[in-house]
Amino acid sequence: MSTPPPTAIPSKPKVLLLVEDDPLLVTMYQTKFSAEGFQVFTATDGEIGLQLAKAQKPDIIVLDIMMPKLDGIEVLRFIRQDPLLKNIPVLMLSNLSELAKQKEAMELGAREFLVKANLTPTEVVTKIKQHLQLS
Amino acid sequence: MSDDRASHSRNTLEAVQRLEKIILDTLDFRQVIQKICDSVLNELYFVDLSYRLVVLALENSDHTTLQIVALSKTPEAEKAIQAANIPLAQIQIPLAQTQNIMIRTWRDQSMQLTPNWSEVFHPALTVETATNAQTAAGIQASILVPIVAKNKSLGVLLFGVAKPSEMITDQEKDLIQGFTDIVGLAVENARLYSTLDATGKQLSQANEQLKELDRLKDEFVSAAAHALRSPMTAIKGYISMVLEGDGGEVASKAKEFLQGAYEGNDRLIRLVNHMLDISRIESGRLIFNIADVQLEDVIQSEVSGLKILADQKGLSLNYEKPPTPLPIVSVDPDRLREVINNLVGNAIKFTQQGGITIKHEMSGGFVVTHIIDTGPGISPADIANLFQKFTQARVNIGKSGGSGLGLYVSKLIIKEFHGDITLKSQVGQGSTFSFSIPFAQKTVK
Repeated sequence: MSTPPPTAIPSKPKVLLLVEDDPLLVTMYQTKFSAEGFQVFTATDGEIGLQLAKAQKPDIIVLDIMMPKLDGIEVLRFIRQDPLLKNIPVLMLSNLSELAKQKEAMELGAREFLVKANLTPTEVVTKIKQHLQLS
Repeated sequence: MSDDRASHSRNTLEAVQRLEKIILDTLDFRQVIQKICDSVLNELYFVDLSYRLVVLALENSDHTTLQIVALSKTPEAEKAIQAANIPLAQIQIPLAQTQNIMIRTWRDQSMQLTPNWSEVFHPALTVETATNAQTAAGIQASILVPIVAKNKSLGVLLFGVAKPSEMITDQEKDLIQGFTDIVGLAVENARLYSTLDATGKQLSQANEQLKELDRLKDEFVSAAAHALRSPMTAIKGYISMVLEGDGGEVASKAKEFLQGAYEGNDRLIRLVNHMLDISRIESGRLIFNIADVQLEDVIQSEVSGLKILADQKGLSLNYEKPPTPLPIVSVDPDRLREVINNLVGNAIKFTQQGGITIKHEMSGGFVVTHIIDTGPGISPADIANLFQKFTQARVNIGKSGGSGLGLYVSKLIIKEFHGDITLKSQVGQGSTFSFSIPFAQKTVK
């Protein structure tokens, strides 16, 4: 009958926006992120991604690069120019690993550049939590 | 009078030398032959001696005809061309026309004189056309001189003179002969140069094409690698989720099988990563972020990471860290980690009992790092091939699970740091991989 410690009070789930065009990977990451307690929104192209970012103001954005309509670098550029969005942390999650692209993304203010094929979904979650200072 | 002649001869000699220089200094074939025709009249003062035009005919590349290739830029030459009304290049005399005086000059390598152009241009021009052209240009006599180089006839030079042949002096003929010797040399040189030039151009074109092909290859490798990475990400991700129990309890046998699939896929991912690295390093597109690095720190952290792997196989993994700090080296720390990971990882993979020792040695401005294992050792034949693409030692190692590119990439990386990777090994005696990195000599003030 002891009162639970205050840290155990479930906090409001963090909102995560995943912008990724490969349906297999969308399902995979969405499953993992949801299981880890995130409220997940997904967009399968850059345009929808940007709209969702504006509508949902997520706590963090996980952004692919090679996508239809608007690529991830362009999405990132728009996010940085929008006063309401520019402080949202953005993690690039792409299979492009050209250093030039990485540099471009980092210069535009991405928090980190992750190469998808080198990480398991759990490892991606660890990175996300690091950037949300949840771990 | 004799003074006059002496001075004239001296002038002429100087003129011939000047001419020689002009012609021999010119290497482009077209320019050489045009200069031959133009300069002889002006430079040798032959205009004053009623010489009106010069025609150059050379043996064609098929060795079937003498072909007119150049004509002096004089008014008389212009008139002759108008009267003949035929493009210069179409005037070709078959070498078989042994009655033709131009062919005889070429064949016999002897100077000829003729009052009639019909003898010179038959059968390319009709008697009527040849005569009309000659009359239009006001030519009364023509001197034909063979152009010879290394005893071989190259062609014929024709001098059209507006005076009867009796008035052509022996001195003039001598001068013409002397001049024509230079022409032989110049034509030969220019031809050689043109051939060389053409070959050079072809080579440089081929080189450009190769570069383009190389670029396309890199583009293809890059595109293919990225396309491969997507499905490999899905395989890796889903299997890892199953293994981590995200889909519920997995039977231990099934887990083992899935672990195999996971490792196979990881091998594919490494292979693709290596292919991308090689493609980038080889094309100079990989950017290295060079920094001052304390080697021990990098090695210590990599060794800690690899300790689990060694422990799993019951192997020892010892780093003999030097008591005093090593000199600073300038490297890309991430890439250096990759190399250490690769070399130590290999040592763990191929060693079944005993262990791995890592230690340093200073050698002539280089820090050398030795990775010594108690594995099966490598035969001399395999050592020779080991740093090539897609080769692994074939003996005693069974299925290694490597990409076959790791050592090659490592070597490329260490070479970027101006060092090298070497290997000492004997079958049954273990292997020692050593990589060297130069350090900056800092003078103490």
